[in-house]
Amino acid sequence: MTQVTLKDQEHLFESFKNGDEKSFAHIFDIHYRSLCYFATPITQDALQAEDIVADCMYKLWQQRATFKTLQNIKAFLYISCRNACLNHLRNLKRRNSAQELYLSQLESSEDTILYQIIETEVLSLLDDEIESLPEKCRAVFKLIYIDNKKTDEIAAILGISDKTVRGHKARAIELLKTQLLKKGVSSLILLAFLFLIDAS
Amino acid sequence: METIETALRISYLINAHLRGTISDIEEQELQKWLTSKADNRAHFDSTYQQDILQQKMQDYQHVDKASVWRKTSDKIQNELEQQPKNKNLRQLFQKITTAAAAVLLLSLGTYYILLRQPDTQQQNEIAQTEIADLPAGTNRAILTLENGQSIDLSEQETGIVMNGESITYKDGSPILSRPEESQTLTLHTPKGGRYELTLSDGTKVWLNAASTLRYPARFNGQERRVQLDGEAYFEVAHQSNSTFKVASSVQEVSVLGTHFNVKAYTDEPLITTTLLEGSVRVINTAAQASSALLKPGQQSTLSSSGQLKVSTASTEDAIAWKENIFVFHHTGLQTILLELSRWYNFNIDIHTIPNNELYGEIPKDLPLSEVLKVLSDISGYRFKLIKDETTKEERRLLLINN
Repeated sequence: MTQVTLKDQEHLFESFKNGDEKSFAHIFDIHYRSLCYFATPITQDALQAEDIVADCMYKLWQQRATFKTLQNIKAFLYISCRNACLNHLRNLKRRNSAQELYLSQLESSEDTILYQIIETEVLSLLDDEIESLPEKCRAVFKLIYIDNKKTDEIAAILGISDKTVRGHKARAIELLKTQLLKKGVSSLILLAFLFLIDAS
Repeated sequence: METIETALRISYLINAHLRGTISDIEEQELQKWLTSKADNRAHFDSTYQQDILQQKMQDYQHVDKASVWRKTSDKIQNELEQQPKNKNLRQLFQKITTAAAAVLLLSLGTYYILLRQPDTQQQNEIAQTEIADLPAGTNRAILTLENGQSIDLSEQETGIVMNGESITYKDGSPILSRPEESQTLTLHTPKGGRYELTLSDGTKVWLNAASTLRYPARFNGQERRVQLDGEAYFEVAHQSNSTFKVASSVQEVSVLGTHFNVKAYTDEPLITTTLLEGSVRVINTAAQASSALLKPGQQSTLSSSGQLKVSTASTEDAIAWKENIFVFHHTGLQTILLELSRWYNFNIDIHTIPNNELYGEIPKDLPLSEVLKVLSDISGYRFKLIKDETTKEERRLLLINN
């Protein structure tokens, strides 16, 4: 997601509290993906997860005047989402084994939620890292890493040469900080190539 | 609340650890957390590995933003509509649905944006030629025999008939004599095509564009079974000793003799079955099997997550396509454009389209430019049709934000 400076954040937060729809849309942008990812395994139902997230966003909008910081918003959304998932599981007439397991875990301890939020937030931070890559480099990276495309397919999709694709790929590997992301895009040859550069 | 604070702190530490930017003190803090409880270590070891993380990242990226936003803004609009004072706010929210589409284009940040809003350098690499118009679809279909032989069916004819002895056009002119009786045939309409078919038992089938029907040259036994991918209207010849079954992905429709429409396109989230006469049983064949018995005038929808719902519906609307009219009664723009893309043969990235509901009826024999003009007038969006030179064949419709 777009990097926002502290001053922008304050401005965003104030205008959101004052009922500015664009600011709300922006805050929605920051959180919807994490919340859906969080709610989907618990409900075992992606469409239901969307409904739950939409409900939480709606509550956020209704209660906008009561928030004190941006960080409060995140906590509020996770808690509302957890509660809505729990209610949904309780009210289901029939539950499959995974839903049954989540329900009993949610009712007995906070650990499931803890790990689920940690995982979601780590992914969100990695997503920020990917989003901060330069535009074309990011497009190539996503096609490899998210869509499992091959070099020649990417060349065809983006209308650029194989060589240019490899160039963007190498740049992505150079810019990414997280080793696990780098490994996700690099072929053995490219790694060997980088190794040579490092060694020389 | 405490749980969330802990979770946010630990996720920060794990991210810094994965990046290699973690300080010594922070690393100690992370190790302390990892060793404080076996479950913590287990979570860490089982989650943050290359292959697993990549799979999770793919799931994370595949959230349907347009759908969540639509559901959210619907709720807010509902609330605003109940408070007449807030008229200005409501208008703003209607505008923001458009704005959200723009935000979506911007925030997706993937290759779509490169295709859609090329910068100058990109324009040198992808030449986009605008296309003025596309003609309406016609009677086009391909019949494929089990041995792989394909027959391009005549555009002058409207349908084919499976006789006992031969396959002919509706007017009786021959296509193939003495086909192998036990074989399975495939009738496929491309985008921009439609065709009719009379099966060996006398059942009539109208096949809509971009659809495929697989059926036996001759039915035998207690079950008459066909497979549908796409949309078709069936008038099933009654046989009290033989059920007629229409299978499509996760659904099966089972009947003795009735009139009904099945819409089961794989690029749409719902399978819709509408009953006009008689009765049918709709069965969800996915893991958690459920079924519903439809009465005339009822419609069932089966979602990809397996929810089967029954409601009353306009049967006229459901089969308007067969009468050569597009009927859009409170239909989402996404559905409308998908339907147009099948009739005029173009591509569209449906996730970039807002799903505002529109109301209108448009004859299907108009050229695309006239249909788009009507849509622009009622929706306020403008459209542009381009040819991607890189992929030659591809015609793509873009939505232009004003």
